[in-house]
Amino acid sequence: MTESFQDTLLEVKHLSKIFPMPRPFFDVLLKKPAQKLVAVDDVSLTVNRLETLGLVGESGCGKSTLARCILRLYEPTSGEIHFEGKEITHLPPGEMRNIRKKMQIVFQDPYSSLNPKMTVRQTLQEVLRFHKICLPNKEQTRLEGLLRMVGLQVEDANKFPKAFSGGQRQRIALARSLAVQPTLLVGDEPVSALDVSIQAQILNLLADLREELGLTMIFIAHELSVVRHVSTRVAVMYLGRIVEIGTTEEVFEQSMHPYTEGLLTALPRPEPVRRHRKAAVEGDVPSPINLPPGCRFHPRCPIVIDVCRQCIPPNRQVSPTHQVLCHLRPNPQWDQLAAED
Amino acid sequence: MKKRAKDINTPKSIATPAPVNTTALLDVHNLTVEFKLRAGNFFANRNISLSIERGKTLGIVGESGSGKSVFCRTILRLLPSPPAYIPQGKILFNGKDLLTYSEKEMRYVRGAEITMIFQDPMSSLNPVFNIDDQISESLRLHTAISAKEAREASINLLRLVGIPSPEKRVDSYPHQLSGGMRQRVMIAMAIASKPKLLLADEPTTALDVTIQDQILALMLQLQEQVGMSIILVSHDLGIVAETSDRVAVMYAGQVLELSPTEAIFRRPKHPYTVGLLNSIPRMSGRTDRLLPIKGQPPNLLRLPVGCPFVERCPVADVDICTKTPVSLKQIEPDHATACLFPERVHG
Repeated sequence: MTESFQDTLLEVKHLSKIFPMPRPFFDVLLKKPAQKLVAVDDVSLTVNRLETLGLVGESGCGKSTLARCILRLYEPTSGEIHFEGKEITHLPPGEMRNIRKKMQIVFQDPYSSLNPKMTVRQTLQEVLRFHKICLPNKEQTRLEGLLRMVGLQVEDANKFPKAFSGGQRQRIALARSLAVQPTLLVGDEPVSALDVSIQAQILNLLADLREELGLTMIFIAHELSVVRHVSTRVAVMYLGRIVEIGTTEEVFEQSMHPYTEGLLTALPRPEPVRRHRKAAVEGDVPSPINLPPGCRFHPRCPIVIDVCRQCIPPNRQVSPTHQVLCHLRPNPQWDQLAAED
Repeated sequence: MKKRAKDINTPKSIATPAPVNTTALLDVHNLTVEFKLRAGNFFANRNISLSIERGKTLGIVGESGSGKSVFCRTILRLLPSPPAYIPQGKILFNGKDLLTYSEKEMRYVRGAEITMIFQDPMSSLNPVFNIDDQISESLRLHTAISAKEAREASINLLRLVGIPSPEKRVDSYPHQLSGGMRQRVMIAMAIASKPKLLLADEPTTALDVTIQDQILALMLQLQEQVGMSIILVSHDLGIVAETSDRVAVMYAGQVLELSPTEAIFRRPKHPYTVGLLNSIPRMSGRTDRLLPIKGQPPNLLRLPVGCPFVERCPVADVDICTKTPVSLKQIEPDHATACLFPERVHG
């Protein structure tokens, strides 16, 4: 095993996911081709062991689809996924089952992700038994350990989900994911549905668990401040593409992409300063069915030039860890040119 | 149709407004809203006293279940009774108590003087009518104009709220618009009659960050043009900080702190406000751990006699705080807190 291999836990290469749209009967008659929704478009990224990669973007940018493709809950249209050095893109379901033991997901809505007719014990037992995690006589100890780990009482095991509040339910969902001792934990907006005071509790819990269990995480959220708080590296997605990726400091302090800058300006901050009363980014997010050509952000971009409207921007390396998908950045003189334009 | 419009337009009691001696547009006194349900009775709002001045924005922050939406709906008298009852309180709007109005008089106030925008623009627009029908309806209900004039007015309103090519969009149906556009349509409807007060109940919660930013900018810009007051309800401290002149912090149906925005964020005087501010990850500086509020939000059916926050409070004197009913007290000029021990609170 080489050093670099050790470091990389997950590698995604040129991953795309295209959903075919339902074709109206009239279109079939006219032999019009079916429309396609490009959810994830040629995304490449690596996740190193023990790091937390934050994925941010607005709704419909493909961040959840990307996560689900990585776990193979969706079959990617093209591209490759390597997990622990092994290609898992086309593994048959039986083998995939073993891999899933190592990668788990926590969903946004703790109300619909738990079975209301199963007690906490049954929910956790199901996972333990399915994946044959421990011997039946060790089950009780394991169960108690799990509950304690996520900050629940042992007595809670016999209750149904309806007895718990949103934050507690999210703890149960977390316990279920951690029952199989995963290496990679994907959080798909795990705190977005929670109130501020509860959200902070869950964020702290996640930080503790990551430390204790040596988890690698992919953390999806639309809230920038939360992502900044939990992540060591951040990827910003826009309409299926990663437009900027780098360490948390690089993305938030030295952001290069105009979209990242727009997001940061648009974010309301809990400081009593009456800010700008001009919107940071104009316009709406285009539909992923009718994608704009060239750079996907060009219809809303404040520094757009002609080339952006025609050519897909190259992936530019700003630093060894920082990449940006933009024709103009990181070239300050280009900015000037655009301003004069 | 025209007759109906005329009817509502001139109820006798409103035609001559009472002389107003305060600068406040809306003055709520000791408002209490009780819900009587099979599971039990509880107070969704307890002894709320708030006022809002003309042309200003009052932000209401609170977590889910704190009663902020109930408060807005009570002002417009939108809550069905049963289960909601108002055992005490006054809602003085322009010096007149809305709680004494008849349903007919209320219909004039709603949509003309006080309007409301809701969180989810998809479910608050009617899916089977186009945008023109929906904006025109509110216009024609309150002013005697023709359908053609109403259409012109609708197009102008859509232009005002920043919808591109309004001449075409006016014939669209809600499902043809994006979330941000629908919320713009809602705002257009809400300002159509140039209301004096706009109630915005989580107006941007369903929207993306960049769209939220656009909508907030639009609301403040329109506020300047129309000169209306806004009550902005949100769970997001950032939104309230950036848009409001004054902030009320609500918890379990009560207002726990009320002051100008600056003071709430710089010198919070209630442990719950401090807890909220410590719970949110900041964009400036890096903290390894957040300081969450311990415990869970209280069950409204089983609230203590005293402070509703006592179980989660780090500075409480449990014996005193569970037994002494709390209400807002002025501790500095223009800064009120419901905490019995404000001197123990350090933001």
